[in-house]
Amino acid sequence: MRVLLIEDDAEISSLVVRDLRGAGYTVDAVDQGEVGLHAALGTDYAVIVVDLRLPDRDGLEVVRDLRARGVQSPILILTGRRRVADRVAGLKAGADDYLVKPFAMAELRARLTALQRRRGKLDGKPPAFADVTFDDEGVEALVSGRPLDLTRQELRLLRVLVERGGHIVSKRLIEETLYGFDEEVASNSIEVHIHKLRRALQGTGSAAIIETRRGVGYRLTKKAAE
Amino acid sequence: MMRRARQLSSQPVDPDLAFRARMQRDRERLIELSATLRRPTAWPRAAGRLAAIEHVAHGLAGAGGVFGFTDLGEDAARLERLLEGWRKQPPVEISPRRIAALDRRLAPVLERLRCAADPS
Repeated sequence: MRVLLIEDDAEISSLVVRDLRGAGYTVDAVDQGEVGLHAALGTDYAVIVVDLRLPDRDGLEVVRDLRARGVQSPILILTGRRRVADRVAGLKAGADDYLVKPFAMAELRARLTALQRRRGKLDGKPPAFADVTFDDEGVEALVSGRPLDLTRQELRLLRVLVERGGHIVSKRLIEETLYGFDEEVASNSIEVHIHKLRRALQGTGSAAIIETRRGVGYRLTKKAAE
Repeated sequence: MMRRARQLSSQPVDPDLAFRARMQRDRERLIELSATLRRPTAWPRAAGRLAAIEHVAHGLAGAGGVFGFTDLGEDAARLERLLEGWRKQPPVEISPRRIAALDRRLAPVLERLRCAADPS
């Protein structure tokens, strides 16, 4: 799940990015409203998180602009403004949810999940394919109920493959899903992650295997019964 | 290794350590700003410095609680509310009474920042 964070408080931004990436999200973090607006126009984010007090523009204006320009992604306002009138203004501007600072990361994660559910991309159950599934928080992959030892990137990769269960996932989509703006990407990194993930799945005897479609992408298939 | 063209920001390695360093900086900034507001001053001359204090207070009000400094966040929020009220309905001048009110709201914030910087 790719999230755009528009927050100018460097420490809060780092904390949110670290926590969400640890939970398997891909996060693009920007510190100005205008930059966030351009990012949102170019990418279909699962959720956009916006601070209201930004250095270049009022966050409410950014929310209004996003909606006026047809951005459909759920928007969560993250702010220190706690009055009812502020909350109402935020929701009227086009936001879907409102979280007042200080907040707990667990609540932010829960709200992101709820927004996704409302958008219809989640049914409340973790995605699953063959014997592969995830825990409720999405921070651990399971094979037949047993935890799989994966890095953060391998976890995200497995998730995108499982979510599209059986369908081919392009290398470009994988790259966009795995890496935020500020993350470095080696030219063969996807192949390396696929190789390691494939080995991890084989090591557990999982019924799911990763198939390579040369020049197209990858997909999960079920191992033929022996 | 190639760098993605869309890089927009970089993240500090440890947000908790970064926040501790920031508290130190914010304390110094608040002391510096408030030191220039010791005498009655016409509003237009003080507005910029008060806005700067409000900005620091706003940041601490939001981030304090997020990083586990709940009391700091609450005290900073009180300071922010005071200055927000002045900004929205500017007084003619920052009178001795207002300077005292500012000090009352600022003192606990500075004290909490000092304690956070030196927990012993």
